Amino acid sequence: MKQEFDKTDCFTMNGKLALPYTYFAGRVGSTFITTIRDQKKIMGVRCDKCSKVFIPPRQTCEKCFSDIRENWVDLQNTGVVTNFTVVRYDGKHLPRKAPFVLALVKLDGADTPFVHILEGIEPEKVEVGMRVEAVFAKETTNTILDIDHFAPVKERVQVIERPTSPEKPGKAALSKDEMERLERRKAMSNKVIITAALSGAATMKNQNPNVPYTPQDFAEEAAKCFKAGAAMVHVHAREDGGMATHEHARIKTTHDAIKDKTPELIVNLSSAVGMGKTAEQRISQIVHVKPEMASLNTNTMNFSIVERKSGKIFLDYVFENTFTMLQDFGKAMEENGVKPEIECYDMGGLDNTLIIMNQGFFTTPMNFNFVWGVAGGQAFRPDAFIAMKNALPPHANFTTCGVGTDEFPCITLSCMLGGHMRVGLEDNIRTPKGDLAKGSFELVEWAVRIAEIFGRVPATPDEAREIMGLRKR
Amino acid sequence: MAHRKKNRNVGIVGVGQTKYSSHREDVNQPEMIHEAVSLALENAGIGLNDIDCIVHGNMELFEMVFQPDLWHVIGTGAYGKSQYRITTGGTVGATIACAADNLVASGMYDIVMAIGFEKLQEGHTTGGITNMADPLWFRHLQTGALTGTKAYDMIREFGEERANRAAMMYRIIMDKHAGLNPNAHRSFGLEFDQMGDLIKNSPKLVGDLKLIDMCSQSDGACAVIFMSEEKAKQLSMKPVWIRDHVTVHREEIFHLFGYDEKYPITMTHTLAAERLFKRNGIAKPLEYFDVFEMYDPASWWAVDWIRDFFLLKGDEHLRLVENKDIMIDGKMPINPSGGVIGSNPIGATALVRVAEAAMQIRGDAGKHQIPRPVNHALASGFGGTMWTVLMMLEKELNW
Amino acid sequence: MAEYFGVKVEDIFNTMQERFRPEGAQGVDASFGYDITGEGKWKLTVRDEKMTIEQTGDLSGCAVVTVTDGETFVGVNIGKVDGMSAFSSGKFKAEGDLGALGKTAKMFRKFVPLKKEMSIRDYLMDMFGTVASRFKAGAAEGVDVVFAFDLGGEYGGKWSVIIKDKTCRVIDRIEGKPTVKLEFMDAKDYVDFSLGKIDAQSLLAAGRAAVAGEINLALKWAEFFDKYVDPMGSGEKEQELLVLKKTISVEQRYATGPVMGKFLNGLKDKKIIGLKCSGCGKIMLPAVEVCADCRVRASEWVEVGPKGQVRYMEYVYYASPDPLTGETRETPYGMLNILLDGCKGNETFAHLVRRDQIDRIQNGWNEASGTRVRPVWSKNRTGSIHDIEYFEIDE
Repeated sequence: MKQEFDKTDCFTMNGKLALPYTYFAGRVGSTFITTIRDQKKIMGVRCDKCSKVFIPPRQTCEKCFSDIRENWVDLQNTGVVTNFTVVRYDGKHLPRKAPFVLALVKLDGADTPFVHILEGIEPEKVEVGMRVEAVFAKETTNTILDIDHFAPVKERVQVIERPTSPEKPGKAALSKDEMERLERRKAMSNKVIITAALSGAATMKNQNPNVPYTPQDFAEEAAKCFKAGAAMVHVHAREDGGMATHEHARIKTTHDAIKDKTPELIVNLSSAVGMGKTAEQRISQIVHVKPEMASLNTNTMNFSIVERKSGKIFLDYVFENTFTMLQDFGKAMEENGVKPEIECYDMGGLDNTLIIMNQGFFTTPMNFNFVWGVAGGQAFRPDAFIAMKNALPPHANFTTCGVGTDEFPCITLSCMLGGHMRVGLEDNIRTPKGDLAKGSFELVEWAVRIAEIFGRVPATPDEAREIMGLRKR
Repeated sequence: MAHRKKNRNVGIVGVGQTKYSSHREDVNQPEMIHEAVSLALENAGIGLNDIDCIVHGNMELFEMVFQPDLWHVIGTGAYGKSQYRITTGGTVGATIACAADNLVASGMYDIVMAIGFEKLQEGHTTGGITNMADPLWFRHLQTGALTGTKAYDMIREFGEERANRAAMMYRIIMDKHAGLNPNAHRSFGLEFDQMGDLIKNSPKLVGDLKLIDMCSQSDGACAVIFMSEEKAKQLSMKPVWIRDHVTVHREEIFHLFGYDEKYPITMTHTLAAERLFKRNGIAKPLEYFDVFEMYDPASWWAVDWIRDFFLLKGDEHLRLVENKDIMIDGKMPINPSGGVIGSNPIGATALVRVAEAAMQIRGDAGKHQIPRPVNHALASGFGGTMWTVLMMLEKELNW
Repeated sequence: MAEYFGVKVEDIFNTMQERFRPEGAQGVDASFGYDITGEGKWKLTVRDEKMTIEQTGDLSGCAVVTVTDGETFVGVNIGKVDGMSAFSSGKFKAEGDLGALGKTAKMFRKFVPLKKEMSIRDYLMDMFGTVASRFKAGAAEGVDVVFAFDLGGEYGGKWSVIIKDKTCRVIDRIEGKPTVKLEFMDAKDYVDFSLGKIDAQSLLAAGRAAVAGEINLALKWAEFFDKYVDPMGSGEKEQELLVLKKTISVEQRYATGPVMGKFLNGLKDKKIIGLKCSGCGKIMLPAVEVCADCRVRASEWVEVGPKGQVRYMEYVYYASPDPLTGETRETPYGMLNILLDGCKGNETFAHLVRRDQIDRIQNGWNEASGTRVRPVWSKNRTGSIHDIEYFEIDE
């Protein structure tokens, strides 16, 4: 066959292909978009098996094929640019006039980046690693463009990162005599143990949406706190709906989730659990889970919800901690290798402990926590703090926490006096600037700054174990 | 045409189908696919890790997603695996079945999953089909998959009364079958005594092709798992064997059926059936097969095609319908599933024919199981301007 | 008027104005009739991207009249009944131009039934009204308590739930000193709390609720009573499922190639030329390079027609979208397979017929000729299918 053609009759004709379409976003996609639209909140889904948070959310994990449609995770509206490109041509299918930047943004809390428009910065100045935040659209299109674009974060949040310790826990160090241990502890006197109290029993998501409820939430939040500088987390496990729980299984799952994600961390469980629990419910879970540390409450007291200004009582509740309970709980903890964190809400609680300690079951060093600002306990006063510090038994450690605005003053004083610091959403939901904290980790970041001012260095979990005399991992 | 014997035997070990329906607003495309894939894996009793390769099929332009196989990975499970995408129009479901069979028979893969899907409500079916035609000419005239030619032909050949009644009889039988199939999209509960009323009152689409005659437009997905004989033995499975398949294509023409007896037009259905039966030594297909899952896009075509596929003469095909021999308990059950008229997620449709035929042989079709042993099944696919795929399935490896 | 799926037929019509999308009504100038059996007749008129709806007995002048029953009409509109199925089974009929009916779908946003809501007061009456029936006597052995509820706000009130001797009764006041008193600043919070929409701790922490008396007893409420079930269903709103409508339009540029190019250029000169296969002698229209049957290249050009006879006409009631615009074409129309003079057998040529002549076309078969037709050439010929406007009867 001849391959040459007579081309005289060849020409081209313009055409078009136009068809109407209707796309269904489905349940998962609709939840994702309507949450962005109505709540200005970006959500991902988490695959528990692969420990991966996907955005945009999806019904199945592509890797292990698990159904993950129910595992919603709230993400931050901020993130980091992991890559970007500058679009330099115009097309009617493009969302912006050229030149504009399409960036891969990995939101805080997500493990996968997703593409969006980056504005508010010259294309030449965009950098991988820069922090950006979502700017939501004024008018909805019911598409991903309900996030109008991302823009550089105006005020750069300083995140103090610490490399995770590469060493796996070795065998137990040789037990030296008491004096030698004290020497080593002395050498650590500039180390400050920062504890993050992640949840408490009563801080709810509607007060601060970053309060963890699920084991996954706890694990993620704890990991962030560790990264920010915390050596220990204090945990009140919750049900999915947010209610405090005394269920052994749930508490253990929560504890284990934290340890799985961040094996280094010390987990300190609560022996108060929540309102209206029996003594049995309060201690049996500690014996069941055997955390490294647990809170031990020292005084029966009012633990109420009141309006401070008007003095109105909303909820009057007696938090029962009899001498018998102090004794029984303390013994149970020591017998099970759980180091008590002795909670003192006032000098009376400290005195109660000094009496019971004469039974001799508490191991040294004893670790105290001075709690300020509970309705029923005492408010923070520096002189009261110093009086309590002076009343401590020999070789005891102390840390402190304060409810609401008491938090930062009391930890500052503790840091100054050589004590340790506890922060977290259990006690306080806001940063010193008054913004809702993005999580306990943000409060840890602030505690790290305070430590820096006083020339102290956040203790690693292993250093904290050494200081507080915890059983070796 | 040359036909080479298979390198090794291949069988179907798992079938998964979504419920077919007019709207699936609650899921997007990969989510809907995931439903069928999960069911197929469960049905086969194997895990996703066992699948070596995935063959993905749907129609072009119907949902207008470029490279849908990419997006669909989260539903197909193709992450890190071999995956092929095939799109051959209405036959695509049958083509992916053939491809899966070939891929296993070749020895390249031991276990292959074919996935067909469609979300017809997301696109414009007729509009999409129209675009298959020459953009400079026929695209401007084409009427999508709708044509009244077959009705016209049959009316001319058998008279208005008989042709109309046969087509409507077929339609009502399909409706009754669909009523037995929990996955079927449409079952109106039609009765034979409504025949006259439906012939008179159903809205016309093109010529004498009425709305009631035409297949549904469905959303849904189907997944079928193919396995080599060796692998099946290892896993102690009893597959439904794929004996043979044949594909016949034709060029794009739109005078489908011819207007002059002196100038006959070769029908791909007849050609495919002749080839398949000849090379497998089947002299009397009507007697040999226990069930036929036919791609029946409209009742007129279906009735006519019974003649083509079974190589019948005169009005034999009409009599099969009129005597209700094609009913589930009849002599030659056709589409006990309710057929394409009952459910038509196009990219899955032809694969559903294969899947349903396999279920009949396995004997686990449930309420629409044929009430006598099924050993030999035939499934067809149809697409384009008259392309045909035929697949033969067997209960025993004894041919 | 009867309700179907909780919606009246007139609700659909009464909301048309607010659901109207002018952008979907561009270029529409027509009236649409609705004859809803046993409910009445409505006439929708659309012109200049505006609409009017009236209930009237006179549906004359409507392009299409929808005839159906109330249940089907409402069902289709709110998505409870599949429109195509209703149409297929004859429950939903359209008399007149089917294509026109299709246009109405674009003109309106979907009807969303207003979920009839229970007021806070309704809920409170229902909640306290069902307390006694939800009481679990078995769990109240030896219990002698009074739960008092003091609910504030506009819809608030006071109630006492008295458990004694394994019986339970409710009074609408608070007497003496109850065992435990639950105080909610706003009764709505109590309703939300009971429906599980908000938790007690949040309310307490926010100072919107208070508990006095034996707090532990308050925590035991769930032991004495079955959970309150929202009569409005799950208590959760039906999820909003997003649907994105879009016309995807892609510009294309097609090359004719030498064969189609020559054929199309022929049309400019009012000539219809086909290629004849050197093997079987078949003439191909429009011209194609290779005969599919013989697989040989055809090279002999022959001029045929331009008049011919109709072999078959597709009578199209249901139109596909115009590929150039995505818009649905006017119906009914006729597509012809014409045997042009000089052709034989199946060598037909496809084109449209003059719309007003559709009903006069006769098909041909074997020796019998169909209606004779001739092309109507357009004035501006560019070498395209549109160089022939249509074929008309050759009289």
